[in-house]
Amino acid sequence: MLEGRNISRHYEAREGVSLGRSRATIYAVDDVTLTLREGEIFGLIGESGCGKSTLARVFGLLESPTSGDLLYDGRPVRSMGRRERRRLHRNVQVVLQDPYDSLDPRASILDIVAEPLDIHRLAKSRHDRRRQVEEMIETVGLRGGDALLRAKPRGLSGGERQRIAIARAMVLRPRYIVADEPLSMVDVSARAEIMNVILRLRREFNTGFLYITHDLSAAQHLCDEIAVMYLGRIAEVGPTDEVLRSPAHPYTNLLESAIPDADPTRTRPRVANTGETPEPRNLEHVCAFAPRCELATDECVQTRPELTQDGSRSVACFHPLNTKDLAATEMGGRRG
Amino acid sequence: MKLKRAIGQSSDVAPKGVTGPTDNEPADGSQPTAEVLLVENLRATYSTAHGLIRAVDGVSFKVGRGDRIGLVGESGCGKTTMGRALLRLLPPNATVEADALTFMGRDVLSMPDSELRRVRWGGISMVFQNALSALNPVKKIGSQIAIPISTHMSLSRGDTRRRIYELLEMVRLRPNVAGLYPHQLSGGMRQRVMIAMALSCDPSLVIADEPTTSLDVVRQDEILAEIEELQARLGFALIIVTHDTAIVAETCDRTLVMYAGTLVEAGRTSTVLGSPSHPYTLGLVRSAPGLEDRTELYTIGGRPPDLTHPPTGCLFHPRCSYKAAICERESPRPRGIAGGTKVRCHFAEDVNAAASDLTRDANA
Repeated sequence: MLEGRNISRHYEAREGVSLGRSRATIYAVDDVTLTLREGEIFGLIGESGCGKSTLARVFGLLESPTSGDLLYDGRPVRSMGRRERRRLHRNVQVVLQDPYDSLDPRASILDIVAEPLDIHRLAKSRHDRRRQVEEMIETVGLRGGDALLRAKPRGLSGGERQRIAIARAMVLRPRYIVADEPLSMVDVSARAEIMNVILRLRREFNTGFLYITHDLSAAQHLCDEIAVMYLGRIAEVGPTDEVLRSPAHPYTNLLESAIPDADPTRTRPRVANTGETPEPRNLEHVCAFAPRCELATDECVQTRPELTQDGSRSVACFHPLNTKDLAATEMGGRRG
Repeated sequence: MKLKRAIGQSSDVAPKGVTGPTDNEPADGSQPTAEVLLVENLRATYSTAHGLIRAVDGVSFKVGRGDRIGLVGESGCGKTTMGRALLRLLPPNATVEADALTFMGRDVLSMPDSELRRVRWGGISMVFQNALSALNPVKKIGSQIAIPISTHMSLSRGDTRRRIYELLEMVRLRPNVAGLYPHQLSGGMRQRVMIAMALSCDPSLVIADEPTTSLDVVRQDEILAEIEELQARLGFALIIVTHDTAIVAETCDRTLVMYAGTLVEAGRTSTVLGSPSHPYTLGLVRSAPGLEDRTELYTIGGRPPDLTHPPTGCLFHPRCSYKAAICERESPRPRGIAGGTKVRCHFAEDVNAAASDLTRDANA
């Protein structure tokens, strides 16, 4: 299990450029608790700037939390020694958003995918190194033999590059992969292939994924559970189908209602979105979504709603949309 | 950019005469009341160190007053080149030819530069994809919007100011935005500024090139709703260039599907995306997630062709599951099929039947 307990990541920001500048704290991630289980695809969704990439960097061991603990099989990462940490890094790998930026342009595909093996000294011989790379490249659905192994990234399409990035992350057979928007720079016809690769890796190697995205239809397709983030905090978390089919948090509802419908014969009703997102500071005593929320009351601007469990999901809202009734009709409909 | 007026036989790709009616003529045969744009057998070719690249090859379509058209395709399929070719905005190594390219009945290719300048922005305007790089970072929003206004409309300074505020209000931005710099705005606000600029001179046609790609889903929905609303109110014709079929399904009456520089399918959106007749369109529609969760998605496989060495026959055949011997030999001509769709495929009827079966199964 990879577990984040009360994770916060704050940044100090300088205000103004001249004399007399003050400091302000930006709460990029604020008190987030999440558990990623082996073999689970966990989606983290939210708009740009909501802190989902920062949280991904914490879970991907690229950044330490300001406060809170990241636990690997119950062991806090901050108290780990060098050897243990090394083992941890082997088991948690990262796939970044931009496959044009994240692959060394001068290295061959063979060396790119083999680099983690080199670092962790896991190849027994040159032959073994190559065999492991070939195997992983095949697993991510690429063929091309020798020519591909010798190629440089510039000869590949965005979708192929992203699959190379996944192969590089997978070559160590990690237990968890943190994937930050892996589809956003990939062409439509290649998107389906990468989603299939993720599902296949989970099936074959029981790899757990923390999948960060703002694309709800991809999240809906891939993820077993999702957490909806808003301004550094979790607004709602639970099983994907429940959360997206009958959102409890008004923000989830807004997100869900904004997904364009691919069926040209249907007309989707639009939910009005009012107001802008506030700055992520001085939000200790308000619901950060209140300025954009139709259901907001005095309570919402005086106290901050905490994440409360309700059945299989948790919601941070004083006026959750009526989940019980919706869940009941869902169940009834399924049985019938 | 070199320009040539093609005289019928100059093209070996789709000789004049077989092009027939334009690809997206209404199925009921009625003529649109007025044509904003007529494109017939448009070709745009880049000459590069690696040889000639036919980025746009034999594209024909028509845009009527107030039409909403979606142009769907992947990166590198030529959709951006086509949008730019319409305005003669391509770099010097590009050659643009067409049997006809007229805007409001006037020939764009032979138009003198002075007239072309009036058409650009005044007649046809564009909303560019990346608002941050399309806006000048060191100029205030107000003075940037003022540029097209002062170039194309003879307004006094006071009237220009009023026009700027009117435009900002139109896209629901507060008047004080005029005094801000681009970096002070959010992504959604910047995209609104782009729309305001595109509408500044009352164009008859707006080409929106991936207008919402860099935005998250809520902002995307807002911007699209706004474009739809403005389009209905002001009556300009709209071409939305995108890779997202769901956006087209929601906002456009007609859909053009582009692959490797050619239009492979064109017709009513409900028909083209509802029951596709080209294997590529069908692949795009089927590979979208949505029907069954956590199961393997349909994939098209392969990758778009290298246009310096295009495949023989149909450009899609190396990736196509319907291919037969004829597909490697003969490039399919665009032809009309039942339902009013124009499609470039030897087996369009089979594909359409398969698509209808899939839809029925999905609904069952």
